[in-house]
Amino acid sequence: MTGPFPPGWLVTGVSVPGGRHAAAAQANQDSWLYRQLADEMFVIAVADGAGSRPRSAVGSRIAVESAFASAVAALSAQERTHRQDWVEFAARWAGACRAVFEQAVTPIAAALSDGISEKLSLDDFACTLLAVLAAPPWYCYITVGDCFAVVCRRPGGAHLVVPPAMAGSRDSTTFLGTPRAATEMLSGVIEDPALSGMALCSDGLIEATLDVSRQADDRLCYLTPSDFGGFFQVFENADRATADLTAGLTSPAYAAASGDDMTMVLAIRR
Amino acid sequence: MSDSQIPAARASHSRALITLVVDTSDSIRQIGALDRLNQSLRRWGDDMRKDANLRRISQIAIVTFGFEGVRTIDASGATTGAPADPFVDLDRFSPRDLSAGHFSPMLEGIERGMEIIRDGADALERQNLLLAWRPILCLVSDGAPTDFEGRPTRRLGEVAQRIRAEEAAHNLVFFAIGVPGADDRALRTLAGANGYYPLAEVNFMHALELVSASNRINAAAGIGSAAEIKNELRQEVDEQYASWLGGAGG
Repeated sequence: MTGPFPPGWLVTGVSVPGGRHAAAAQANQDSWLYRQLADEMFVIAVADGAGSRPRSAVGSRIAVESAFASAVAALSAQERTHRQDWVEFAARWAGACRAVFEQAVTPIAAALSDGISEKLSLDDFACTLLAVLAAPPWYCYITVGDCFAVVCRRPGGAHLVVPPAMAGSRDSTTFLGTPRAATEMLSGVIEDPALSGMALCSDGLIEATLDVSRQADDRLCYLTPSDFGGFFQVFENADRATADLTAGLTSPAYAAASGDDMTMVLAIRR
Repeated sequence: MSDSQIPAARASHSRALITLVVDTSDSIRQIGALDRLNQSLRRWGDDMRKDANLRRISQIAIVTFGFEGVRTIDASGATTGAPADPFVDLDRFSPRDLSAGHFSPMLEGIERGMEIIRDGADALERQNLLLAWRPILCLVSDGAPTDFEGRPTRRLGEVAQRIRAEEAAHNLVFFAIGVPGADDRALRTLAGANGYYPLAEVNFMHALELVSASNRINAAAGIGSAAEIKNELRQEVDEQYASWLGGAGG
């Protein structure tokens, strides 16, 4: 696990390479981040490098760092006490994150292009991103692409609050670093004093951790299974939490569920 | 669940559909390649099953054109007739030996493949299952398209246009693999410049490994467009399989 922790919280994250990436000796293209801002305020983030882009592993690392740096930049000295204050912060954060990502990638792309005929562009670093700034009872998120977030509340259980795009959808995934991100990056705010845990996941975990159900409008959608809260039980033995989560995600059953990299960041309120 | 375990992986809720449209016209027999085709199909199934994720989600259908016209084969090998469901799970993929003969109604075979994919996607939807990624439709041929009587066909442009429309609607990705003797111009018209791969020699294993490569690319691309997937495959083929290709590629 990654300390120091905010008072009353434990946080851990695990990222394992997908079977197909490992077989092809490709790097894990996912990244994750946990960083405390102040007291009980912290940022967690997951990014998934686009498999088709040559520098997406670098892009995903820059993306989670950009999420943290832009959260700091977007937090003004002004006190945020009402929902609207947090809604405005989240929207500002999303814009700042895109700007920080572009500013960070541009010199790296130039440096990595040195001496090669085909120059790297922002698009070569494309990735998806999901980040949460926790300031209980407020939880602000920004997201682009198909990572997903589940929150656990006591009482109430697990809920899929930021769903991934449906597999087989006719829409293409939107990546950070592409023009579409400017219009399709989402932000939102959850206010919940009873929130007891959060899980941020890359899309490699969709098949292993979510169910599919038909809704009243006849469309298929992802749902959180009733036992999803079991992920948070890894903290029952906090010293082993990271090892147990790693063992689970590298198990044959999870490996068979996806050839893609799998990343999960868990935060639990003790 | 014990304290040290995470929840069990959920049951699979997505499927990857692969449809092979295989030339079984008389020319395959004339070049003595039928045995190699049958052996390659079996070996390809074994190779695909080594990937635990593909084993969990892949379903394969085979359409042949040539012997007895256009046929949908039972890819499980359980029956000799047309199967009720053309797609079989990878675990059950074990097609009987194909027979060769007659003419080359390639375009009608491709159209059957498109129908099968549309019906397969609808069937998945009814079962509350999702497509893991774009269904793959792959043509393997050593010849030129004819009608059912062996006459040259005039429908090439029409079918190529239909393929482009299906790709644009994100319903499938189409590739064509030409075995020596194939009508390169026709196959390139059907698959587009970036979707046609003429082999340097009669090696069906190479053809089927290119199908596997397209499947891997498709998986990595996730929800990508057909053009993106084709560009990615072209890049991988250029880097890794260039020696397999003949001079008419790209």
